[in-house]
Amino acid sequence: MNDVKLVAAFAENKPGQVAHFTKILASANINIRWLAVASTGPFGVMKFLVSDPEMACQALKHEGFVTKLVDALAIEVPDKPGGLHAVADCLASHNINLDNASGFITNNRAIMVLEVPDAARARDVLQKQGFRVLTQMELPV
Amino acid sequence: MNVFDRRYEMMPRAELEQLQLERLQALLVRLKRNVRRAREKIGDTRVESLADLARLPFTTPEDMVDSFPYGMFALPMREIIRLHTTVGPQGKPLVIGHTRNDLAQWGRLVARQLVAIGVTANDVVQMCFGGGVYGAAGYLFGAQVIEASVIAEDSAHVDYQIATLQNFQPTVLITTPGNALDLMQVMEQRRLDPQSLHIRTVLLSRPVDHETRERLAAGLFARVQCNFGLGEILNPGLCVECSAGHFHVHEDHFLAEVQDGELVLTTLCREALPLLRYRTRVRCELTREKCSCGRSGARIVPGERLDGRLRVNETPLYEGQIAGVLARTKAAGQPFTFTVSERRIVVSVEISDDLFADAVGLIEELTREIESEFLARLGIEADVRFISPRSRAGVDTELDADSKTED
Repeated sequence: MNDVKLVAAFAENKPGQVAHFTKILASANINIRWLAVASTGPFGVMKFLVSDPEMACQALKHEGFVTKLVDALAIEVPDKPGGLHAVADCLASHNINLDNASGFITNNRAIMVLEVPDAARARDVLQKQGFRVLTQMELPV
Repeated sequence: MNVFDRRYEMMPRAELEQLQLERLQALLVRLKRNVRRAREKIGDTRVESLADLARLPFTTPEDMVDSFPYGMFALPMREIIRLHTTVGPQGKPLVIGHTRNDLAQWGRLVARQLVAIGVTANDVVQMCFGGGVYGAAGYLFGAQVIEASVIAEDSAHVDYQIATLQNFQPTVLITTPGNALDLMQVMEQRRLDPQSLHIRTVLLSRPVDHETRERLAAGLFARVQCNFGLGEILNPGLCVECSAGHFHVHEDHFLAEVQDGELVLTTLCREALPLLRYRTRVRCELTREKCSCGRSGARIVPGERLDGRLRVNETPLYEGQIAGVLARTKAAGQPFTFTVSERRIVVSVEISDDLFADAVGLIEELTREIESEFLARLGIEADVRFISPRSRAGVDTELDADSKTED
């Protein structure tokens, strides 16, 4: 499987919620590479890109959190002007909608994290255009 | 003195008790002849004095639910000209039938209350119940009896209500406490002088505490009186609030007892749906002390509901109904907690793995869906929020305390 799994967790919108998650993940010795918080009023959904999603999910569930794994695409793009545009343009030309997009830079590599309705199709499209779609193992540590 | 039916309202105790006994005996004959359930329960019990009442069987709200809709009617539908509905245990509907005589009596009983608060044929009456004409039916009959001018319109919006108050210049306002408070607040916001209106008396559909009464009296610049009634017996028309602020049961029509703190009522005159020793599920104190107003009817002080009935924005609500609404949504069966305020409820539903898996991002949509179910099914506004199962278990609070000490 080429897909990257994000750990999504339900959280109430109140102080200390992120701290609960990070505490649990730290004690399970799981490294967090990327984190997004989407908040809609009384609750939010937190998404983590971590070294071991299955284990992170279990650790959080064990502590009573409601979690699930979400398919996502991690794409390495050149860290230069127009790098992101090339990805966006490719998806647009194939009429693929982005549910969520975010990115981070590590060791001079720019990584885009994308959530799309049909991850398999998006991956094919992007790979055909020559983009590097990372697997869970290929993610920078 | 403002007494509509002096003979009955101020009847000497001994005479009143003799009247009650005769009416009770006649009631038992009617029940035994016409209502199978009652016949089976009453058996051969004979009533020689009012003290024998204690040997008669009770009727419970559950009995009424079991016999829904018409099982306890004492007359064929041919004789029944009106079906009113009310809310029974767990929000189940109940049907209250009335014959022509029942409706006429209803009007005369409510007229006692209206006359007691000084309403005459010269008054213009506005009724605001927000739920169409039927919430105001009893008041309408009463006002008709004393020939006051009733404005036949229930303003859907407080703006129209104010416009009606200004244009029609009603002198009497009959409404719910919620509506009266809304009206007062809107008038304050708009710097509308209540003295520019003509309201002299406000009659509230249910009792409110002393503080609310004072606030409304000041805010609307009018005398504020309250009704107390019960849908299954009669509402309004069960009792009259006198100028001394006491509720006097119309004892010529209703036999009142208190059993284990609960108000128990027998309808002595009702033809369509007579109720024997009906357990009202309302805590109550009852005295037969003399009152300065001169009325001889027993004085009652109604208290809280004994069956867990809550009230949200004037609508009755039972906890089971909340689960019932959730059961029709994707959140069926999820544990929940709730808090009730005067106008709305806040329902906190536990999120589950399934719900979350199904609906990341759709939780908001589900929230709105459940909220509209509450409005559609129960007629109440709800704030629905999903919470983590940890919140309910109280784990978060502990951790919160932890992290505070760490900080």
